[in-house]
Amino acid sequence: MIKIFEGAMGTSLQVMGIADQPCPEYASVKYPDEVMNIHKAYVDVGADILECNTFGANPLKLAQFGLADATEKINIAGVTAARRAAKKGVEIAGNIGPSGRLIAPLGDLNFDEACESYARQIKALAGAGVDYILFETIIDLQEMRAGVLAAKAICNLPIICQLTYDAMGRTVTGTDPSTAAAVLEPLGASIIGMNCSLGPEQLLPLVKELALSTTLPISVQPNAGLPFIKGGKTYFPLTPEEMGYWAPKLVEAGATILGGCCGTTPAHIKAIREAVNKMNPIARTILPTGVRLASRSKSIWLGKGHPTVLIGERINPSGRKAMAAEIKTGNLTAVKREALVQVEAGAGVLDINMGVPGMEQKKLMGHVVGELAMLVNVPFSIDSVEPEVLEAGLRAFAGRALINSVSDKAGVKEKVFALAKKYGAAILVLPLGEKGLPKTTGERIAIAGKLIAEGKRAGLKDNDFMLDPLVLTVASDGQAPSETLNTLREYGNVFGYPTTMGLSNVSFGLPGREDINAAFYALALASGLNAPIINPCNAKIRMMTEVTNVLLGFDNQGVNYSKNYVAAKTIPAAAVTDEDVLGALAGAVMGGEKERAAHLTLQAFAEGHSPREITAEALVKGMNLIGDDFGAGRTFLPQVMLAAEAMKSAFDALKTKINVEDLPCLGKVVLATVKGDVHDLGKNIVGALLSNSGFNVVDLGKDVDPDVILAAAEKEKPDIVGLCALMTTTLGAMEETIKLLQQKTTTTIMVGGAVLTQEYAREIKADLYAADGVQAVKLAKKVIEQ
Amino acid sequence: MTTVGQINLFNPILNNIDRTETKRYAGMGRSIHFPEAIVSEACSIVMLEKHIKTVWTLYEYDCTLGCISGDYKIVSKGLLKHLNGSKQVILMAATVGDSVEIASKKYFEQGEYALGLLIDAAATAAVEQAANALCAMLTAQFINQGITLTARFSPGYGDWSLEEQEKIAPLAHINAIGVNLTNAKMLIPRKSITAVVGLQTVGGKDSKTGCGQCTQKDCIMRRIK
Repeated sequence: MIKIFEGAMGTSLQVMGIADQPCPEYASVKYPDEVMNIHKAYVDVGADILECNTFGANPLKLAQFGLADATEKINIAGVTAARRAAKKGVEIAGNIGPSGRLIAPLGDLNFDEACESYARQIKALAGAGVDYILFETIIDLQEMRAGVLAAKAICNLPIICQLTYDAMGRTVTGTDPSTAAAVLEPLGASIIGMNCSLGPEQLLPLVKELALSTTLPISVQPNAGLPFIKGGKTYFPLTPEEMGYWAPKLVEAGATILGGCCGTTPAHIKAIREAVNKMNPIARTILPTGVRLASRSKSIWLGKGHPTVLIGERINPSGRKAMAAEIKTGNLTAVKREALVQVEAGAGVLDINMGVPGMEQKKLMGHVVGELAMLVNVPFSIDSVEPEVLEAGLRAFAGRALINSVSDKAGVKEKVFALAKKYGAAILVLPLGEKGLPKTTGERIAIAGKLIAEGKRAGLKDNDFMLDPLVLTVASDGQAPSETLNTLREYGNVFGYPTTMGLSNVSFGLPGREDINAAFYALALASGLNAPIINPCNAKIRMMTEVTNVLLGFDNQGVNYSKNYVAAKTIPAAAVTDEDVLGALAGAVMGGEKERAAHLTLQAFAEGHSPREITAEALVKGMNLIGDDFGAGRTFLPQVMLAAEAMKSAFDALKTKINVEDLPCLGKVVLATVKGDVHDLGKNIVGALLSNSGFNVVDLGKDVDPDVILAAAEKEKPDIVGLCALMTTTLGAMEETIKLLQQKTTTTIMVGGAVLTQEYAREIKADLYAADGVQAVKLAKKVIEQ
Repeated sequence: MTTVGQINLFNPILNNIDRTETKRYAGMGRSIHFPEAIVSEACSIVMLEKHIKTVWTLYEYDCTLGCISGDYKIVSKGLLKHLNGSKQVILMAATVGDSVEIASKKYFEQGEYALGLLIDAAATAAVEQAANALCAMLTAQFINQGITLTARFSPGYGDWSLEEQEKIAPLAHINAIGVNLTNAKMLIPRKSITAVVGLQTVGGKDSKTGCGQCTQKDCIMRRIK
């Protein structure tokens, strides 16, 4: 039978004018009979589960109204009002909404503080005798995790987890229904669902998606459509009949509990009740086998029948002194770079090990996991031998992580199993006994079997385990790899769980390790390896992964493989003959080919071309041509800058052969961004173009005082002073500078910058106005010619 | 329900930097002959160096007087028109921090001009993405109340003078995300923005925004030539 929730509470309180005294939840204290009557109206039309008027009754939210101290009183009053309205068989759900703040690092709320706030509300609700703990309208998965952890710590009541999705099918912080299921089901939710924001029609595809992703019952509470305001009043467009039309479709999509959110009334609930009265929950599709991991916004499957997943191993400071030293100074740049690079290279999961000697690993792990989750969207494997370090990572990770790892070590394994259960994490079983390394497949199977049984006694399920066959070095035991491969096969036969292993150990002590690793990787994949812990940036590993994905049928007809293969091919550069070296050099400058420009410059010099010839007939010619293209809109600023880079590279090459003084100098320019203006990119662009066109540039920097510019003009005696201003607010400083320069010097003043125009330049009496860097070079050359 | 005047912090997740917008901010248009590897590198550097933060505050708005929170009287005709029909507004600020700027300068000084230029452009794309993420979050939050958000409108846009930054910055609580205002009314870190959005009832007017409405016709980032 399909169960029915009650409809909107807040909308009804608003209609009665008691929603803002000072908050909707306080109506249960101030107007208990009115609240009871709202519930009763829903009971009368057939609601099976009432939702207490406690949506915003967590101390964090109540604090906004100065009511945090009344948390217990408000929650108990909410439960009492619902209980008074309920007849026999009607159940009560303690309703819990968002805290109103986002958890760090998305916002400023501490995770522990969120847990404590929810715990206080849940304690009051459970104490008052609710039948369910119902989280609804939650927009961030991490906040839902905090709530569920709090609920599990306080009571054994069934937990309903309803997130709010937008029209794109994601929560505001990026979670889709399938990912929500991957995280919340193992975390301990009893029912998963969605409410608010969208109407039933928009929620229908999301219910279908959820039904394919969870074995749990699904609850749905749509709005009565999207609201609009008319004459100061809020209206919801969907009629009870329309709601009744969609209700059976939601059941057919997989929903087992229906209700209504904003804008729904007893008439809507009545229509839903009648529409699904004779319906039963549908038989749902069986989920794939394997282990599912998830980040906040993405979930992946590992195991037989799923593509190989690479677990990136490089975020591990053990044996990497530079990374460890950087982490010690509080700098996470190297760690972040490894995360980005590995994901870019195809890592589906990132292993995170923070074993930095002398650092407090617990704090570090929590911090790094939080930071990396803001950067990449793959699930994490939390790697440590210390249970408290594992816990810090699991707590901070807004997803379902893999614990790396548990072995048969008494006193530790119990804690690790408990952590996996508490945080809904998957766990990697390492068949290491107290007696050392088990050599045979039989021994490894026995230890793994023992650990799995213990994990299951701690509450873990089949889809929580991954297995490591142990990789030993072939150089010290020639049979070790065979035993590993055999263990992989036997794992498949005996347990059927996904497998993983760090395979590079195999080649330790031998030359050509990459080749050995690649060959072993291929053999391991054939023996049932699903998710190697590996360096995904290694070219051979990447190639092997792409090839085996084709051969194992995960890349249909090799489409991806072919695409990547073509993309990786490079076209060799054409050879340059003696006759056209200057022309080729001009072309290299225009094309921004730095290495080629340097090479051709040296070639031209060796062939007897003078520096003046090389500069005039190749380098400046190339820059002039690209300048013309820029002026005509055929090319763009970054290409001009690339050409300047090639020019610089050519000049640098030339300087290795001749004295700098022998290079032709067109003239001297003093450059500055005016007082008050902190922009210097535009000025730097002009400087780079001028200096690479043969000018001697003295750059005074940004935010430069008029007196400093004058002093430089008097000292350097430049042909031109170039002034730059990027904002309207600093044009005054430019005018002041020009006035001062013209009083004391006769130098030519050129101005430019985003907000300047020819008219304004004339108005402030500048000699020249350059609309862009290319024009600045042209004008500077003209000044010199005159 | 959001409390008027309350400072709200939100640090959006950015899993990538928009390459197309990066190229546009670098003034590249639809250029075809440019090494994509440099664009990728610039985006990666900004991914590493960004420290994204946003802050927002809800205020009452008197549409007839053009007055925000009884404190700030709007003089820009464009903004008055943009907010027409709003009873509340949100003032917001977003930043990517100053590390991106240091990186851009570093590469420029090393002679990698194009990379320096593109890092600057990618940082601009990042701060815009951050502000868009904040607006998306706010849209989702207010839609249930029958309220939609107008597009963002920032000081310096159209006829809303940059000088007004001085009055808007404190109302947007820029200090809460580590942003400061210089004497010349510039935000530091430089890759920061302030903006206002109006809260309007669903089915209200559809205000026009975008390059077509802007008075700065020579802007290199202009989408409509």
